[in-house]
Amino acid sequence: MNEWHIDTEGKTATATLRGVFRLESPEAYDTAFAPILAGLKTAGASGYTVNLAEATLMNSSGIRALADLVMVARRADHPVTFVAKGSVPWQRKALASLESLHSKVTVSIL
Amino acid sequence: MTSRTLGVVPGTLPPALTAIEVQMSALDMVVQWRRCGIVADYLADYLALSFEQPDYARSVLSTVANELVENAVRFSAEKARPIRIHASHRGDVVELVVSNLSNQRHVEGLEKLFLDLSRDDLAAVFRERVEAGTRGGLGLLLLAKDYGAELGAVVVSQETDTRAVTMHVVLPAKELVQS
Repeated sequence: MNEWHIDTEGKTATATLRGVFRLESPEAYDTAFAPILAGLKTAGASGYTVNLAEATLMNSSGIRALADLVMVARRADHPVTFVAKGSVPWQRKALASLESLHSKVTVSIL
Repeated sequence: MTSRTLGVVPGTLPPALTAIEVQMSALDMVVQWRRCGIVADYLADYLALSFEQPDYARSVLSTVANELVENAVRFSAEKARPIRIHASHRGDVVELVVSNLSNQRHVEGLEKLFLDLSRDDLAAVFRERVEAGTRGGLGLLLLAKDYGAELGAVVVSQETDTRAVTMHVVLPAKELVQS
């Protein structure tokens, strides 16, 4: 049973991540995040939102995978919004790193 | 056998107020990857009780311990040999020491990483590694960049390609309190 879940169906141009993300490799994240990547490309210039608020923990392979998504958005010059909770340490810290990769990254802290 | 040090291995630290040591087989972790997180959570639960904001402290400690356990598992050359992790709260720091048997290829990766960690602007190192498409080594970099951890490693060359690696991570206790 997965400790994590990704919902890309509930809200337009939004992926909602929930649970503990400690997948074993970057390749495992490529598979898990494939629907997010597809949504990001479809959304185009209108932008895509990744809601991390309920992702309680994420390992560095996951943060690397999020960085890859940001790089895809950067190459296309499309905006990405990350939603996070200020009380979850990894979110606050990782999102500062992701913001530094692309000028059209917005972080919304709950 | 020859020994050398990469990064900053702490000298004398304050005495341990709380300490725990766990030994595991990398093979167990490879078979069931979730065990890495289970060990990290266990260590974090144990130490977090010492801090004013245990939930916040637990989250940070689990994140840090998990990176170290995952790294030790990935880079264990002989998966049946033990990995040891010793975690202690020492006043204004938490120290984590992880020992495993690795190989020369991994040590060369560590050498490059520690060269990067010696630079002042770790945010720039992060950006450069992502832009270059580098996928390895990011976990240790993030511990230093995001959590103010001081990292060091002692590498002992053994027979043939085997290298005994002991990673030292010193985390400021102030990182375990929400600012």
